[in-house]
Amino acid sequence: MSKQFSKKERVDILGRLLPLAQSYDRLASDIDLYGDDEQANPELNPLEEQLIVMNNEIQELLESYMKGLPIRDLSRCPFTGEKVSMAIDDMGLDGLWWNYDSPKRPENKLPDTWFAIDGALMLKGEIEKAPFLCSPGPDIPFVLPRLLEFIQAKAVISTIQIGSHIAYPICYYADPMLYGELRVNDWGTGRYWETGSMIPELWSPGQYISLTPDKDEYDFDLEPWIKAGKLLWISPDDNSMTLHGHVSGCPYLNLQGSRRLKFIRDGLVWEDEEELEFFDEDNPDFDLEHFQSILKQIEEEIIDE
Amino acid sequence: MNRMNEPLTFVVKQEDMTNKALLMDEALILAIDIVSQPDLYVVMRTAGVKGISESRLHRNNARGSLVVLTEQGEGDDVVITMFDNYKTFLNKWADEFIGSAEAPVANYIPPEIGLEEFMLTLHAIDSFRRVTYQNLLDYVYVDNAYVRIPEFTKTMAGSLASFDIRWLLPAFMAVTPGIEQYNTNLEAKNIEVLMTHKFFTEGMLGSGEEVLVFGEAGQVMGLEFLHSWLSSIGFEINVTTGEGFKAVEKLFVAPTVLTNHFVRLRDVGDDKAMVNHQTYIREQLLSKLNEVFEKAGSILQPVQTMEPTAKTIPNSAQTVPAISTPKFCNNCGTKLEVNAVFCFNCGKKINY
Repeated sequence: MSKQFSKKERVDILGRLLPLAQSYDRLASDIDLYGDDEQANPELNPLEEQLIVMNNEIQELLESYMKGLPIRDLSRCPFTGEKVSMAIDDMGLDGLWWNYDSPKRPENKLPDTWFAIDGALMLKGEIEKAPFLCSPGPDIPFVLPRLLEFIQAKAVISTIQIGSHIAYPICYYADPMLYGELRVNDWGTGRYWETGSMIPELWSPGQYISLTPDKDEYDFDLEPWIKAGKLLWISPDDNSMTLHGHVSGCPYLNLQGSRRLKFIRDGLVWEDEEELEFFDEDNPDFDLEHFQSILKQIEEEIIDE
Repeated sequence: MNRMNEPLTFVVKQEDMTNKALLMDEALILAIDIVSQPDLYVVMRTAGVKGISESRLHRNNARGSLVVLTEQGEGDDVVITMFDNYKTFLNKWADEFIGSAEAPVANYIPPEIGLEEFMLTLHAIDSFRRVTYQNLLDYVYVDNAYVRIPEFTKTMAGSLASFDIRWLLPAFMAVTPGIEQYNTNLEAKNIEVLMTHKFFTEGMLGSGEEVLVFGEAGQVMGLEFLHSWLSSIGFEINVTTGEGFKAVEKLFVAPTVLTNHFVRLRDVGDDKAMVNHQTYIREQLLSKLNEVFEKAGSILQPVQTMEPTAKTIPNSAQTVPAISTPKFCNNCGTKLEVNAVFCFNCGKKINY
């Protein structure tokens, strides 16, 4: 598939891909249980062959998914004025683009001034059910002062609809490029690709870096950053993606919503990494009753909405 | 030649042209060689309290990173200054012309907008200054300054025709070399940019007349230029190609106390240009100018050069008008435009 997939095609790909991936994981786990000694376990060969067949099918489906992702205008560089377009699954959070631990995202052509992408997302309507962890950020947009304090760094906030939800990509740019500073995990994932070498003596250039999100780093008071020229914005539904540097009429100020990171899995939503620990059933401190009470509370909140 | 920490300056008077001792000075010979055989030169026009002046910066890649500035001195004197590289030139230039703002400020004209639209934003800033001066003269105080629509358009036409560098729009047009090559016919749709970026908001007088009320950008930039605008500088970077010199960059800088407004024009064909406006602190501006100069130099094609010796000092070259451009026509005495080939008045060919 070389063109953007339709909603139906996307559902078809994900409907086959996700269960297949789960079956693959289960089978791989079973094989692990048999041990490594093939001589002693003659049943292994047929299972491994089955695993290979499944893997090939998964790879084909993944390729179809990534090739079919729509390319959307997401931002604009505040230094060069270049429009930034990116392949993104804007049909829902149940697409593998939003898989926090193992996102499936094709490479994008980005401007030389590109530095990082972060984001926020306000849930609206029905929450998608997907068997992977999804973390699209807090409800409302924010900036990272750690990055904007560099004189050559600026950010741009825009709006994009993701399924029924309202999302706010926050893209960072630098001119000249900012080296030697940790960036931020790619929006909705637990990692980012570091093109440079942070510690030249120790690391080779080009590697994934995983940062632990720290909500204390977030600044939701956007007005001073706009006034200081460090944050620009694009109006929602503005197809021309015109950048704005003024505060008056800015639609991103005083938005109401949670400022905590949210996580979603199987249609369940919870906030911040503290709650995430409750999900670990192998943890001796795991309190099943407490966890179930939180889930019930979340479900009631969703129903109320 | 040894590396220099300080730029080397020569003031060359007309009578020095026959001074053999001076012309044996190796550094001067090298400087004149670069000036006469550049593969890159930058035309710089500066508008300030003394009017408009023009100088040129020359570089020849075969001579390394050295750059040579030629300026008109007193009378017919020519001042030749040789710098180690662009950076040392830019630092000295910045000391003289650039504001020392250290904090970033908002960019109310983010990239990119059309040249015509940019001209309108400049006139909006001028209009705020004009209205403020007028209100002062009339002892009028208003919370929301405004301008009538016919007044805005009429004063823009007058402003463009005036070449009065005390106003931002004519200063931009006067000092940006090569700006005249663009078709800048304004259309009604261009005015939308002033609303989009909050230079104006729509307003209505008690009489029902619609007026343009100065918005956030109009007020902030209007006040900034009203109180702290220092000067205007235009740059045109020319590099040698297989078919002679070609202008590859047109830049405009307007320093204020708050920031340094940096404008870069991008040719988009059909005699049109897009404008990238940025607000830079001093270090950012110098870094960007250095980057633009270096990048322009990196695309040039090498020209054949002669090794400079006292015997091979080149004659005057077409690329050094700061040295050799006559100011007045020898035939009728009319003041000449920079780079004029013929006298505008009598039509006589100008000999350089």
